[in-house]
Amino acid sequence: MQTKRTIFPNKLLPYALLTPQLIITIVFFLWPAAQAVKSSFEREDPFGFRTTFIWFQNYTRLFGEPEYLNSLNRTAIFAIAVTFISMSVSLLLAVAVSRLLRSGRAYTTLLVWPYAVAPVLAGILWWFMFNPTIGIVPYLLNQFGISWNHRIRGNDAMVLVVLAASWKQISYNFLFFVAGLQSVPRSLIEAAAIDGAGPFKRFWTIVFPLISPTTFFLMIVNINYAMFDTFGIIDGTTSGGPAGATNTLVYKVYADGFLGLNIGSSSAQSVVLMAIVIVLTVIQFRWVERRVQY
Amino acid sequence: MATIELSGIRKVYPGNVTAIHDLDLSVDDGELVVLVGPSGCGKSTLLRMVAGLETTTAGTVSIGGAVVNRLEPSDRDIAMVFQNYALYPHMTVRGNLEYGLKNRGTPRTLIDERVAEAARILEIAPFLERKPRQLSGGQRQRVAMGRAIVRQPKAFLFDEPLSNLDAKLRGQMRVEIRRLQRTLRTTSLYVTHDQLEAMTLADRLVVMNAGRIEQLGKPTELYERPASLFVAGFIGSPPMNFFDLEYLREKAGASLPTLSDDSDIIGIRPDSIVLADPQEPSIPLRGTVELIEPVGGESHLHLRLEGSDQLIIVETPGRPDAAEGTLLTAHLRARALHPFNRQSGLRTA
Ligand SMILES: Nc1ncnc2c1ncn2[C@@H]1O[C@H](COP(=O)(O)OP(=O)(O)OP(=O)(O)O)[C@@H](O)[C@H]1O
Ligand SMILES: [Mg+2]
Repeated sequence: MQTKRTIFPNKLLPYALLTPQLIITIVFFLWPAAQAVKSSFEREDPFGFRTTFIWFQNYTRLFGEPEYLNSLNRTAIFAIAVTFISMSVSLLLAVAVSRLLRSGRAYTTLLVWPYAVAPVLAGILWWFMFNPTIGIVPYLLNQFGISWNHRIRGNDAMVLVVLAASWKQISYNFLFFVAGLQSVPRSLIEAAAIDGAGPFKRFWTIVFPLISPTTFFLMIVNINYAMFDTFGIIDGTTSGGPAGATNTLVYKVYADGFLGLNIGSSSAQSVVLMAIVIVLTVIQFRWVERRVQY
Repeated sequence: MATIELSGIRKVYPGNVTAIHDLDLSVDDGELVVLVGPSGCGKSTLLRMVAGLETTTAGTVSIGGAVVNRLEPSDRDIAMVFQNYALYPHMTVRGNLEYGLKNRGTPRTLIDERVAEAARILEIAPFLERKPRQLSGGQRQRVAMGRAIVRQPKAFLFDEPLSNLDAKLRGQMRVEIRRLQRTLRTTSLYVTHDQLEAMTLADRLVVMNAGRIEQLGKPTELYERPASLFVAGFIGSPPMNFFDLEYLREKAGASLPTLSDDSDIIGIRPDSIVLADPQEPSIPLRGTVELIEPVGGESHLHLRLEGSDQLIIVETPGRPDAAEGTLLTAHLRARALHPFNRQSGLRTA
């Protein structure tokens, strides 16, 4: 393919065209990031009069705090659970849809809706459904003799945020899986059928390996999502509680910085998060570059 | 070893497309039957119904004497070679060959034995550890064949297996498939577009048209005695020339053989028209040479007939003396005429 090259006669025009994007990037991303890195090396006195440079003390203190370690732990549980649940449910739905694609259209549209719902709204929706006093789900669970109270029990709270966060991500995964499944040639499935493989065996030995690029891509995206993009959902449902049971790293940055006003620690935490994002992104790009290697 | 019996099978696709109309066909044990016909006439559909990849709307499909209509493809014990080969891209060649055997719980030693045997026959042993994408088109084709033969199924089904190869390779593989089928004596149904493949491979040839069988028989029979205008025009390359009987009668005089009354259109193969007077009953036609196509040992002359403006093709050995634009006389051998009825489309004698 030939790429078309445009030559600008005016030397300044390209820069002028780039400026808006650059300004947005600098003002809203690079500058705050730099600020965070800077303040992660500082301590501010309680009245905000003086800041002192304290090297890595914020970091060493952070990794000594049981709360932070607990948060790391909770984040890991949360991210793994969300990634696993949202991916397996969406794969299941995608397989179901691609088996009956004709009637699948309306179904697909419905399944994509959650993606358009704002995270906080999604959080509040689930908060209502699971609300121990007015929600429908605890009421139903009660009928089966299961008591539900995510305000008191940490595990209930974790289940709630995992469900809410997974639900929100299913649409996205679903679309990618449907596309992935459709790219598996029909004749391969037919050849496998003739070769004596039943539907389950066909799926696990032919289809699943062939959509592994999609699966891997989604896995990274979902981990990223669970770790960094679920602030709104957690804020809308549990606000990190009870007793830090759903206090993920991202939520803790907010809680410590804006509610606890411990800017130094909060900054150090966000720098750690940034590092994690960078690592995940590098893995993803590396892998995408290597392309599909069966 | 098995026969394939299709009786009264019909296929109606959703949207009321009838692809196959109440068709009967039986393939004997060890026989290779080739299906030819224009695009969309239902060849693949027929094959896929035998394989179990399409449901049968009506009628029965039997393999080895047992009705298989309700059986899954996996339980029909057939093997299929697809046009695009359908090799599993994430498995090695060995993995591709083993897959069907493993699924059927074949013991390891037997698997290794069968794979080694197939690899030897098809000369793909050096590539066993490669992935399909690391193979050439011809090698992939062999692997696809290998995948079919390792299972030693009751029947082979081929859907245009050679159409993605270049002409030379196609010729080689054609001979190889013939040899393989003769050695293994596995009942086979073979779909193709290629005349040469059809004529050379088939024990019996089936010409299909719009979901029906037009004619069924030995390739030479179909060539020498086409039962309908459709078969006459479809089998043979270059295609048969057709004339109005009235036009020929006018030119022929006494040399026209007696024909049944309902004949009104006459066909003759390009190789039954000669330029030199054949010293036997023949019909002379004068025309202008419009084009000469030299094709190796013979040439195809496109002749514009005097009076009727019809264009006919004459196949003549070697190089004709005539140049393009010259006027010459061609002789239609009277013995080689094929009479048809235009209305019914059938042969009249
Ligand atoms: N899944 C389907 N749904 C509806 N109609 C179909 C379907 N598959 C095939 N057909 C129709 O059935 C007829 C026969 O198709 P088929 O694929 O058997 O033709 P074919 O003889 O194999 O043609 P070709 O030589 O081009 O491969 C065609 O008219 C086609 O449009
Ligand atoms: Mg076809």
